[in-house]
Amino acid sequence: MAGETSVKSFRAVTWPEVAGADWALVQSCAAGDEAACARLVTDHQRMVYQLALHLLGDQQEALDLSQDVFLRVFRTLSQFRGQSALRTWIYRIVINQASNRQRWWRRRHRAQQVSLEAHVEAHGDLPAAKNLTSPDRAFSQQEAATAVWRALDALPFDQRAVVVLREIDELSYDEIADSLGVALGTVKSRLARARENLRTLLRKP
Amino acid sequence: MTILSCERVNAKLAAFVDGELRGEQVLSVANHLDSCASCADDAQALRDVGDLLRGAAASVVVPAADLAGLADGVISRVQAEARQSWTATCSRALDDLHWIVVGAGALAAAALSLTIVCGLFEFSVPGREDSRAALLRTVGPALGDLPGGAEGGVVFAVGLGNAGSRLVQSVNELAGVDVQTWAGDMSRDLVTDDGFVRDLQAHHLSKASQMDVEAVVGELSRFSRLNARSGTASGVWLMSTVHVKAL
Repeated sequence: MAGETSVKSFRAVTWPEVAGADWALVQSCAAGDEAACARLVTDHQRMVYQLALHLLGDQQEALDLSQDVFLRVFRTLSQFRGQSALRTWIYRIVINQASNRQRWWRRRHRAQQVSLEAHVEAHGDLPAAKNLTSPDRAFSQQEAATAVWRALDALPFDQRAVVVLREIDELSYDEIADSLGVALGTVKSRLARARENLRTLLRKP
Repeated sequence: MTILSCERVNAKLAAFVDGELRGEQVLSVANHLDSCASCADDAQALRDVGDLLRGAAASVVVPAADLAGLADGVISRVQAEARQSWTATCSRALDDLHWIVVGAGALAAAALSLTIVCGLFEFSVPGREDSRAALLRTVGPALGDLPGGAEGGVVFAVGLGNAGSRLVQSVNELAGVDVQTWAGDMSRDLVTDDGFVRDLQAHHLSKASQMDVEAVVGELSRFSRLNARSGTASGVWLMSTVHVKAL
């Protein structure tokens, strides 16, 4: 099937800055190579799904978003200029799509939303990060994970995105700035606020 | 090696934990943390947050079966889109440009509204009751019923309004009437060279206008006596609440 070009063709461009493997893959996809398109998806699908899940907190939403992300990737492949790595470019699409989807979702479920302060007041503070370094504390690993997701969900989207990209996906500050389309200083300040808020939420009374 | 204060270390702590410092800065912060328990605790707290997040992420089971079909699903949809009509393609291309579409729509609506308003100003018939056109519409047909008008004499219409009596109009020159105050040059405009006042009708005059009426009558009578041989005015209509703007 590799020789068949039934996938929509894209305008051929040159991206000298793109690293070799990425460059070849993008070039093949742009030429309409179906196998290359499939490889682009399989190479990045886990990364996309996990980031979507960490940002949205729902598996079905994350799967739907993953499909939308790759559709968006193929639709806009001709706009990829290679100023950033393919991975970072895809990260940016995931962030944008997740942000749009979350805005829609929050508007639809506005009545069910609670503020960070209200959340802490209602549920009490969660177990402290420091205390969790001792694994024999009061809750299991699964409970800890649930607490973390709940705290993460209580963060504003921009803070959640930056802390997920840093702590879970382990992107550098520069890569995060590229993925979010913001300045390096913004990354640092958002990350500091996100960590502070998480510590507050995860602190045991 | 630089000796850093706790304040300066705190400013660099996140970057240190995240591996974003280089060279001597790493050593300076590390040395400070070795000797400062408080800053070391802060650094550990930052690491703990990261550890918690990574631990939670590791506990998530990725649905391999669902992801396995992702590539096929995406490629199928891309192929289907490639076969779609150009209208669907345009619609999809505008998906992410909805604010541009909204802005363009607002601009188009504003331009259309402006065009309509300009059209109204340019082409509409004046609807004001106190306009000159309204006066002509009111006076014109009625003048034909006057004895003098019917006989081909000269008929005058005088409008009395809040600002005083204003209009002197010849029925024979209906299209090119001049507007002046009657108090000054009324005689010149009320009575032409070959006319005199033969009839006077007052319509819907308020009491306040009675003095104006009397003044007009007096002026016309005086003028008629002085210019008896110069002509005849077939009639004078006095109308209340009529204002006519200057031509």
